[in-house]
Amino acid sequence: MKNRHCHVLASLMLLALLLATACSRLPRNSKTLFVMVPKLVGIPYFNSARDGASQEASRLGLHFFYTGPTEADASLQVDVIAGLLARHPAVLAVSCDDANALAPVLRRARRYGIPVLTWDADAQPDSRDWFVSQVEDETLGRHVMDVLAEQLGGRGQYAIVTGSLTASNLNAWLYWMKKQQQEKYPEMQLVAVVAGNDDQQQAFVQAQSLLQAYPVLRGFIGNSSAAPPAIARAIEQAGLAGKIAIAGLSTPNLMRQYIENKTVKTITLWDPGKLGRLTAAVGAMILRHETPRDGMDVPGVGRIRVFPEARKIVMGTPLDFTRENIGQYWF
Amino acid sequence: MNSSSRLLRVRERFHRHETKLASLLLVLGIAVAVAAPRFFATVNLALLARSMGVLLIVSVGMLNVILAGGIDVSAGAILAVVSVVLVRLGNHGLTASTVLPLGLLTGAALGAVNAALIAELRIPPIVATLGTAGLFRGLLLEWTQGEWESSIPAWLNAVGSPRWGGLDASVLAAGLLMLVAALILHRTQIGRALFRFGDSPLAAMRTGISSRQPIYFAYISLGVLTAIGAVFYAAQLGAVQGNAANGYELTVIAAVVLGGADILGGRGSLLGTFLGVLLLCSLQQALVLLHVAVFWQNIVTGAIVLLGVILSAAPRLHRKFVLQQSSPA
Amino acid sequence: MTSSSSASLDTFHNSPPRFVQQISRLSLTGNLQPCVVTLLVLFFCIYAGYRSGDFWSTLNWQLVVQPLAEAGIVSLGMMFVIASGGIDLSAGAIIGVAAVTAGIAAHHKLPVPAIEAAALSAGLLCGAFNGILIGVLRLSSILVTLGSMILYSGIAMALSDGNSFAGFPEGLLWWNDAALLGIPLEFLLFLTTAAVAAAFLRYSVWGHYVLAIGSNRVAARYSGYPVALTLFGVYTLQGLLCGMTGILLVARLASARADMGQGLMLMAIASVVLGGAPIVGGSASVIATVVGVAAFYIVQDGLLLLDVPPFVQHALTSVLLLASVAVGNLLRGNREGRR
Repeated sequence: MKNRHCHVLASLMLLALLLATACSRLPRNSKTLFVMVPKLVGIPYFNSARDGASQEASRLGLHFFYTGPTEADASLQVDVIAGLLARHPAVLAVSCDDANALAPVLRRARRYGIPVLTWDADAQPDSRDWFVSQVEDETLGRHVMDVLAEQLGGRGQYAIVTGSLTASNLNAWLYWMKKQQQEKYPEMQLVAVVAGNDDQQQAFVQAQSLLQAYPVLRGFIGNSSAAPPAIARAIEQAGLAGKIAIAGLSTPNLMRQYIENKTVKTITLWDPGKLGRLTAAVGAMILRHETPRDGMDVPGVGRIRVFPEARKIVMGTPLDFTRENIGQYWF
Repeated sequence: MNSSSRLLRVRERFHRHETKLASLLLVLGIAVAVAAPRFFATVNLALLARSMGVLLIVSVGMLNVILAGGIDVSAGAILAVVSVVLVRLGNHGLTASTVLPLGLLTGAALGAVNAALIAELRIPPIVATLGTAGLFRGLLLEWTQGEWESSIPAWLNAVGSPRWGGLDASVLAAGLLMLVAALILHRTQIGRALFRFGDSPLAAMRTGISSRQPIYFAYISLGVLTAIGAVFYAAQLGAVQGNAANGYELTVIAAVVLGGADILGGRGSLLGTFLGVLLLCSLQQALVLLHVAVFWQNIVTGAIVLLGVILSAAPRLHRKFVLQQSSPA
Repeated sequence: MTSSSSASLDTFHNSPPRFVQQISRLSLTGNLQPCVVTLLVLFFCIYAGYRSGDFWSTLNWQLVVQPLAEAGIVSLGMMFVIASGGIDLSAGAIIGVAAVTAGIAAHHKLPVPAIEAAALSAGLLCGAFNGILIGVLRLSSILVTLGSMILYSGIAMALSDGNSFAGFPEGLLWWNDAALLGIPLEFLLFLTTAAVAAAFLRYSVWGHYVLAIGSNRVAARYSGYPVALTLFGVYTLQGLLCGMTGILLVARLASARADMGQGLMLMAIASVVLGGAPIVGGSASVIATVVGVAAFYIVQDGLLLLDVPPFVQHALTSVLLLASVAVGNLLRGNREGRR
């Protein structure tokens, strides 16, 4: 008897679910809701971007909402965005885990009349209105390779520890790094590209293993904010601090101790807070039906470059952090 | 009669899982010695020992849980929570003598939550620990708001630094803890209760072992050992992040099970666990040394795990297929 | 003294549920958990609808049923696996292999049915491999699937070289956009699969065997049931369903990656358990599993619309799982719930 009641109840719920999908009630419209979605929540780099965006958004009179997947998983990110569509935000800004996987849901958003911005990591160009990029991929990749090559004197074996192997923006930077090395520093040799997956422990273990596997390794590039501090730690523990060059992308806070104790000479990045601010500013511009112009000065960000055909905005050039200037930055 | 019983014991020993595992390791060792002799350089062996430390400590705890017939998939979350607690408190200026006991207490408390859910509310271990893993991880990440601690107190750093020819404190701690665990498991009442309860909870209850004692002991010991592991984890890495050790528990379970522990409970040994950890860690190192691409590392590791599983079931299969004896399940 | 010793012997023999009685009933014995979960979720829906005006909108439901359908199909396969007394940790990895296979097929410009067949066969083969090890060689399912999880994820990564495939033909992407009367086709496919699974479970001999084996494997073997073949079938079916999920995921994300199905394995196990199926096996109910899957996705979606921070969402869904199982246990008067 109990079983039958149980099944009836459960079947009723299913029926309700079915009916709910077919019932009509328009979603509430929010004219000033600015939604920002990072690749994943819970790492300092994106926290800085969030802080910058939230300040700028409130300054511009927008209601700011920040959420995202708990892991850098494209399907999770798509689920989060799909859930957000029901709130019909005024602007959606996404840093994409995967350029291809995010495209369908972003296209859907645009079909529903929601303007879509990508920032930090792009999706397919026809699925977004504008891409707010921090630096040109090519500029960044070539610059990081230059930093490493300068320390190595243009020759020697090096390895790269990247973040997730499927991250489109990381792969784009990798491409330009390798290209720069092949074109300008032919005597350098790339021995391995391994994945740290935004986890310092994994990057640490990989770096240690690489040090063992390639005894004449002379340099590392850490291609995602978790990797360089882990690589520096591995090198320190192996007693090779100062003998092996480290270049790459990470935040000043994560690298501070290694730069101050000279294990690392230079680390490159940009200001994610500025990037967040720029994203919010562009979002507000879209809502006011303004178009970003090349060379325009955005308060708190500086002069930006705009490429109307590719619908891409570039914030600036890479920023190097060294012993001299790291004291000025706290993110 | 004396010589034949000795022969029987030798044959028994030969068929034991640990022996088979040791032979597998020997074979792999020879293969690696030929292909990448640098594996056996002192520097590399020291690195191997250091990489085994944390895994071994946590595996001893997991062995307790598996012996008792349970399982715990929240070990990674507990590791992350305790490491963040340790580093945050330490960075706030508290001394080692305050922070370390607090860390161990946190681990014990989290383990107790698992035990309570399993013993009192009768939630199956895999479900309970799945739930607590999400709960602990979610609360931890909410507390840290995604901020990483990128520096650790000096005393913690000292713990993780390699000395004594490349080894560090984690190796020493792992060795000590294994000795203590061996004493407890084989010489005390509570250890033996663990084996009996895992073998058959019904029989154990009828011989006077309460169902609470082994469960609480197993999960709390895992919590405490994971906390100790967290100390060395943070010390070695020099930083902690909220989403650390994601999926770590599967590695630990694989190590314990490769070492011959029966997943249904009641059978297992510390030697086996040690060999399992050794196999997994040295396999990873060897693959990198052999310049094997990252993708292939997973394939090889998976294949070896399956091989280990087949090997451990070999006597049963031998009886079934070769001797045509019908053995139940 | 005689009466007490025979009484204790009696209880000893009666402690494990008599498998004949149980399988003849072919349904959950006094399992109130789906009801508990349904009530909790209904209350939650009412609350969420009240606090957030968007919860009851068509768009929201259309969007939430798609990932629900994907997780649901995997959960159905997992339901059979758990009912047979096992567990499958490699489900997510099999989805990855299937997705990557579809990607390779699309890369070679094969027609859409061929792409779908390729993905389904890849899933089938992976499941069959598990089935041989678990069914024929009678190895422990948790250990085999742990090893095969690592193996398959490595294979998927090696096949895809770490990249994601794109450029799938419209015929495949159709699965994502198609809808009947406003209800997404994926969801209808899921419901159809659930109906077929329920029919299999209740009315086919094979379903009877699965429940018998999960309930008491020794007795099933001694009763002459084809244990090896049945288990092989269970895991192969699971592989096939994972292949299906892979195709749906590829259609929804218009891309294929090796790590696509990662979270779905835990979600499937949690859904089956949330629905009240005992983890040791022996009983299963399709409706309970569907309730479990729906509960997770609806609650997650509601929490998102309620502005709950992502990590707290994670914690809350875990609490939902624990609370439901605990309450279900208490209501059932659980005697021996271990595994």
